[in-house]
Amino acid sequence: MGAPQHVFQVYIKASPERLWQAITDPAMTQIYYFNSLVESDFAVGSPISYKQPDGSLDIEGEVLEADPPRKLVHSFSTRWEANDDSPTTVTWEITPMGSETCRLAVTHAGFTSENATYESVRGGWPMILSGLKTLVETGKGLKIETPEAAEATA
Amino acid sequence: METEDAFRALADPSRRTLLDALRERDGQALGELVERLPGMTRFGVMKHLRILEGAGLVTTRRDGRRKLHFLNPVPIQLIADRWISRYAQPWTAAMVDLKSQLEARPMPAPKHVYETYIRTSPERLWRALTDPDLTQRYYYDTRVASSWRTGDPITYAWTDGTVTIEGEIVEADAPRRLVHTFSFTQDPEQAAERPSRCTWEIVPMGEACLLRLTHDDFDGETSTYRSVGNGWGAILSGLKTLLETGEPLHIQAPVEETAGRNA
Repeated sequence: MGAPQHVFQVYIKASPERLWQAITDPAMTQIYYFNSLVESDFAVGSPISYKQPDGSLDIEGEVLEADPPRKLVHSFSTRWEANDDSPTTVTWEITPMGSETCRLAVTHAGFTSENATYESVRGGWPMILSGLKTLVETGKGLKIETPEAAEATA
Repeated sequence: METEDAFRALADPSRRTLLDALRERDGQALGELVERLPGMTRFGVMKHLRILEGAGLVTTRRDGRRKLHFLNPVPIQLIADRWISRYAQPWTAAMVDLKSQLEARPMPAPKHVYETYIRTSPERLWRALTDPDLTQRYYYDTRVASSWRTGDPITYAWTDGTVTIEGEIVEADAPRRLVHTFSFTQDPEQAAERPSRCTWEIVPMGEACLLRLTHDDFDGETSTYRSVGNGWGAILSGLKTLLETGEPLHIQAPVEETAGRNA
């Protein structure tokens, strides 16, 4: 039995360059990545972080591989809650699928067990990738609210 | 404190791979160790080796122009000595053995679960799942047909009438939940398998809906199980694009991937 990992794939009507921008531009990540701004120069060995607008740190890591607009690999440690789970690795891969469409695959690997981080990102990645796809294809973000929250704002 | 650094160093799977490499063959240079971690850059491997050296798990020695890395098992031995007394040792050995036996057992029943969030209403999403004019635009050109009553058939067919997928409705609770069995008819091996099951769940989430598709009830990792993975991704992405933009999504597989793709 291999180490636990998550693999997600989504097909998006966009060029590889546009998807690379979506992943690396804080103005865009803020719209689909739980309101956080990505910060990095995306050079190998450089730090990468996702921060809330107030500066608080959600995620930090290190860029391990960067091959625009095809592949980005970075280590990943959550800072939004107190947990001691060891760092994991996130791989973003962009593959053209015809002239209009790309497949965006995210592999989140390196988990030592199905720990708290493993469980919390299981639900988070589909929200992130759905929001990214909606933003790139429609120009607007996707607001996802739990039923209770939706009722409160209705 | 040395033990703390060792724990932190050991917490990373890539670093454990490097220690395994040195246990197999001690005294390796950076270039040789880089080969043990494909997908990681030289710089990345160097950083991990520095962390291992800092924890006392790796020592280095110059051999001409090369720097050779050696495993130092002392910190790990200290951890073992501290927490495994000579009385506990036989028990821990037995537990480690049991753990390896359990991990060698077959995994729980295989299934695919997909979640996607779509800017649409539950009613529009239900319609997209059950209207043949719409399925034709995202479900590999097939038109769905069913009365949507429990026990009645459901089929997905091309416009020439060829049925590609067939099954039976288990539950149809508009616009929340659709459950049906699933068989590919076009592949003889897959058609002969016991039908699997698709559960489509629609959960309203404000302006968006969560669509969760669970494809399960396989007799192990069958041919159907192994082939549907890529197909569902394309279908769900196409459904989302259709509902959010009004246009279908055109996906062309790269040449080397067309072999083995279904429907």
